[in-house]
Amino acid sequence: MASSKHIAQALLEQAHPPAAAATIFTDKVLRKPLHLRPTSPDPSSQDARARRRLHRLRKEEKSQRRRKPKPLSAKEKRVTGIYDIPDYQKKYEIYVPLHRMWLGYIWEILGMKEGGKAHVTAQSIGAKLASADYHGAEVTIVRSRCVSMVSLAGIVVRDTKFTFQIITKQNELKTIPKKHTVLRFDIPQPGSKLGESDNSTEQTDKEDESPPRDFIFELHGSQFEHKATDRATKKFKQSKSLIDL
Amino acid sequence: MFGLFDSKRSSAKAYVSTGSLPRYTDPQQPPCKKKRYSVIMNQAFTHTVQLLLPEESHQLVWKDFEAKISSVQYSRAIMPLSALLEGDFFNVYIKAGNILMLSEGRPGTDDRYSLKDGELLLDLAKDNYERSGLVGKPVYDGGRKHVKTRYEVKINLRLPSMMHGKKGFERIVWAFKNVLNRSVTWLFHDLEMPPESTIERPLAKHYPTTHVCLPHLRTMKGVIIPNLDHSQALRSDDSFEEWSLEIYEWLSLLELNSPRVSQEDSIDPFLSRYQVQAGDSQTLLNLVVVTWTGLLPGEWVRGLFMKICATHMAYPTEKRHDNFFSLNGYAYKTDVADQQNGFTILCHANGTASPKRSANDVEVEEPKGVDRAMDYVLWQFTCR
Repeated sequence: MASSKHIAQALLEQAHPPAAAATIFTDKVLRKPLHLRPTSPDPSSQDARARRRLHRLRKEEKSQRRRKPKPLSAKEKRVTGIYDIPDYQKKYEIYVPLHRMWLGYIWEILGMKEGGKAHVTAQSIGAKLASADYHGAEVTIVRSRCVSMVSLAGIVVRDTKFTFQIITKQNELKTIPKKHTVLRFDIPQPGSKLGESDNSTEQTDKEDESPPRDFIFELHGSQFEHKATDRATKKFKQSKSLIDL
Repeated sequence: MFGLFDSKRSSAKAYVSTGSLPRYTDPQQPPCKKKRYSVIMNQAFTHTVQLLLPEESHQLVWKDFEAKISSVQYSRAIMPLSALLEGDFFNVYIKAGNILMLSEGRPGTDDRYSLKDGELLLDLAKDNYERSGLVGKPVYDGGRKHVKTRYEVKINLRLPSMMHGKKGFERIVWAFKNVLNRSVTWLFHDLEMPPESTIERPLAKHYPTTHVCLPHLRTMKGVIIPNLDHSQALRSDDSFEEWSLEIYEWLSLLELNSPRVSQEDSIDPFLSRYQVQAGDSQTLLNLVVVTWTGLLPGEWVRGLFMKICATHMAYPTEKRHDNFFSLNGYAYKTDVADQQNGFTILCHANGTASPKRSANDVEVEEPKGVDRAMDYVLWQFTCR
């Protein structure tokens, strides 16, 4: 390939004598140094920020290893099934003692004593009932916008912000929304046999000989949408939209 | 304005239909799909039925007619809803028999119950509906759109599932025991009991008072008869509307026993300017108005209509203008809106068999006097 000369050599031969051109070509073109690594900028100086970050992260990780793990979110907790009541616990009999305890509690709140006559008015006990605890109460649904829920009855096993969960006598767990629902609580007089609070005593009113009537009150669920724990300390206000259920 | 009220629904309406009566209707197989029969049958609770016919034809047909129509009776009893589901009453009247019951209560205000063909219909206010726990659907209350204040619960008590002990039935029993437990006055008619029978019926437990609906006759003398033939008026919608309003006004005045329709009437035109549109040839007739009042079931009204048609076919009168009758029935007001309030049927001989009649008519050439085909005009009213 003598005919095709290197273009640089051809140019050099036009400017220089052949000996000098050959020397220059050899030195400057053929023996031109090839740098395999860029010399600038210095890679070690560029990586300083990244190194600092890495260091910081590693340090944080080390300190976290010593701390407690982050608590689960409400959703994660729900997914674990911790709130679920297992099937073998969906038994009405299991909750009857709870109901008995609740009766003792509510009698104490209302000042109902065996043999004694407690006089209660809405003003005197309304605030107490509004902030009372209802786990274990025997409840009946007397009015609801969803009519198929009316006449359900059972013991409250969970009281969440927007729902009551009850166990019915048929051993079913029912979740009842509080919204647009009116609930009735029948509280037998202290001393009367539990579970035998029949409604026939309701007619015998204001007679000293007859056994005292059950204490019955109705609760508008729409006004009651608070968590049980919040309710204890919260001041209860009547909302204006009481008429529209 | 603002679309708060439904303008289409808020007015009373009258529907008019015409046609001709067949020469023969089998009394064993009473029709129910023809307009005139469906209108009569749809009106389950009729309180007044009036039959209007010329005195001449009344004299001719009444004896025969009176023998044919069965007397009708109804009872009034006070009982709660739960009594309907108790033993004998439930089995004898609802499951096996057929009764018609209507409770007291103002429509749109009180809770109202009615029972027809084994179907119990509860018209409830929102409060009691939500307390009763029976599934129904909201009904228009005549007020604002989208505000649901009244609900209707329909329960077919003849279903095989409606038995004591079944889950759905026990729900109804619970509602009737705990919520809808007020005693109300009921009107009661047993469609399957012959009125003469004296057998102890389950209703006797509730001490009913029984009323027999007897016909009450009233004669009007010298009444001006307008042109009852609508064939001329049918040529255009406008003239037919005018004619039907005119005739309906005349019929209503007859029902009211108004002196405005009689020949001897002399009222100051300042007070009333009504005049019967009698045309050139003024015809005068004595008319008889027969009135029945009480709880009259649709079946009975249908029987009455079929029999009066049959007797009119059997006793033709010579003069054409004499051969007519009108029957009207007014319903108990049970709904606030969209209820059929009443109907009026005017039947008259259409005279010669000429091809001027409506399309569905059978055109047969017959000698004069034998042709007894009748045309009818039916007015049907709905309240707002």
